[in-house]
Amino acid sequence: MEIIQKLNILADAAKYDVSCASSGVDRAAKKGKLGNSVSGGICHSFTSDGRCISLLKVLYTNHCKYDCAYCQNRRSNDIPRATFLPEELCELTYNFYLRNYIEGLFLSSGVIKSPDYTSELIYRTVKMLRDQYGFNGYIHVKAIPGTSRSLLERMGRIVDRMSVNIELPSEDSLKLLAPDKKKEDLVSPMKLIRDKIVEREGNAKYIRSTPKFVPGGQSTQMIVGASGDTDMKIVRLTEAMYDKFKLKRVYFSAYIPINSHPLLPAVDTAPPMLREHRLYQADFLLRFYDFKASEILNERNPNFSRYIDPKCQWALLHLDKFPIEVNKASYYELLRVPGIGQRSARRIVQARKYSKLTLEDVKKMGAVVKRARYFITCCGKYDPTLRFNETSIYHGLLKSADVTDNQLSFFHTETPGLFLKEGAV
Amino acid sequence: MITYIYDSSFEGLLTAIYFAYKEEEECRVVSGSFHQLELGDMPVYVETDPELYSKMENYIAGRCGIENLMSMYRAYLGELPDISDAIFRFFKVAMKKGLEAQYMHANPDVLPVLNAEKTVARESQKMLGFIRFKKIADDTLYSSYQPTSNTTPLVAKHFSERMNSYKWIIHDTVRGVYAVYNGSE
Repeated sequence: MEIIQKLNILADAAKYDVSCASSGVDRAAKKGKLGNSVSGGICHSFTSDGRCISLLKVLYTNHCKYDCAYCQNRRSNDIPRATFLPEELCELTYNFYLRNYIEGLFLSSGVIKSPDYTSELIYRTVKMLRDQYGFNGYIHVKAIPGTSRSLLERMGRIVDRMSVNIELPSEDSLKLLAPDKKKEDLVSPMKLIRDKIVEREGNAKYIRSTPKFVPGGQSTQMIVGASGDTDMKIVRLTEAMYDKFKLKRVYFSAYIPINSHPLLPAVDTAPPMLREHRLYQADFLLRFYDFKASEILNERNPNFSRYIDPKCQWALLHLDKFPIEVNKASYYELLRVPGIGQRSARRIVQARKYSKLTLEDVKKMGAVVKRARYFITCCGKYDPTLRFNETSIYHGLLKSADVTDNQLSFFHTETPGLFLKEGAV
Repeated sequence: MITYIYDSSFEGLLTAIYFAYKEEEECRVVSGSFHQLELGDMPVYVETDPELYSKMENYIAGRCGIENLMSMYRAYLGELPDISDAIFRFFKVAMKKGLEAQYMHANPDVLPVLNAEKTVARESQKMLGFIRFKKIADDTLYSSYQPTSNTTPLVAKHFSERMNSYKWIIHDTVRGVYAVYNGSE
């Protein structure tokens, strides 16, 4: 088979993996070797929906011995299959990189024979790319669940980022849809990578030349919308991932129905893009806004609203904490106001030393006033055109909502209701 | 008004700023490639002096901070019509305030330079990703592109690190500017 055909098949097969970040690692160039790594990341192209592409994302092979219900490459699907040779993959990566089309390689794979066998193939490829080709750019590999510790350790020393896909948000859905994968198999490589990173950091304090281990950290991804899990469950799991496994990122991928299966959404359902979007918004609340998963969603409201974002949702349920005075509130209080982000909160804190801020000033600091104005007072004054009660705020927010793919239509008959308050029946 | 006109090189700009700063009367700095003389202008043509330039460079880096020097340089690469005089005014603020000038977003003499710098920095970051090379010989790569600002010097630094074992050429077809790397410089 021609290498270009293989590339077609294996790049297409990899499109359901979502992570494409090349950032987080700063590695200086080496004399005589090709490449370096820039911490900010570099985008080389953009997809039609505005996502940035920076890595050559391929599978080593799309042959797979597993039969996971949601996966395009499952054993029982009748699709063209291909497998790279290590040289071919090195050649491709090196030449794309040289021509500045990519920032590095993202390598995943179907499982052939055994996890160890597959990982060994991936390891040999990456090793060849690093040593024989002198490639010094960014490499992200998927750790195959069930791979032996020693192999994972060796792998970790030559790649920039490793990730283990958690696949589905709960053990039950894993059992139903991916019967060949066990939770333990997914969790143990994560633990190993975490421990090795921590160990390296400890050693590096004393021995400067300690070799790097996965300097870009580890990430994971899960499929959203293939199983019946609630948003609350997903957000809680995400939080646990960050806390327990020290992950750099958790990615969500809206499930695109490709296989018909009694337990899966029908093939013609649209992928839940809005839900994915809401989950990323919540993900940012966890990572940058000091929120806890239990604050974002609870048993009474286990899912996100279609109409307003998670931060607004939280604020509406906690109106007793608002409105806050921008000239007095602490940085962390400001961060909790919908429409105020890290940058505008910081600017507000800096600028109010010199003069009292008005709503106009808050706008200049970069805050999104159309959302923030419902929740703040400036010099003790609440926006006189607004009324501070739940219903009017909710409807005001709806009017200015950034409803992405489900624009409220003019003839929309169902009025979006308020969610249940805590304690309400 | 006394108008210092330089040859549109960065060396020339710093030379002109040197004279303009010493000038006691009100004066401005313009680039030869953009400027049309206005009524009442008293043109002074500045000859670029490489020695004076390197003196100025060291002086600014020491006195106002290397960040401010870089801001001036990047803003200059944006090649906006009025930028030379804006850089001169920025320089005057930087002489008084030192490094702090970097953060004085509200100062009308500072803002144009910071804005121009931002535009240039953004574009060159974009170009790091969007430049595409072609192989023209076994170990030689060629790329042509059409940037709005003169990003070639900034872009070239990145590639001289990344692709240090190759020879390459980055060709800005708008300005006819080349960056050539022969495997060592």
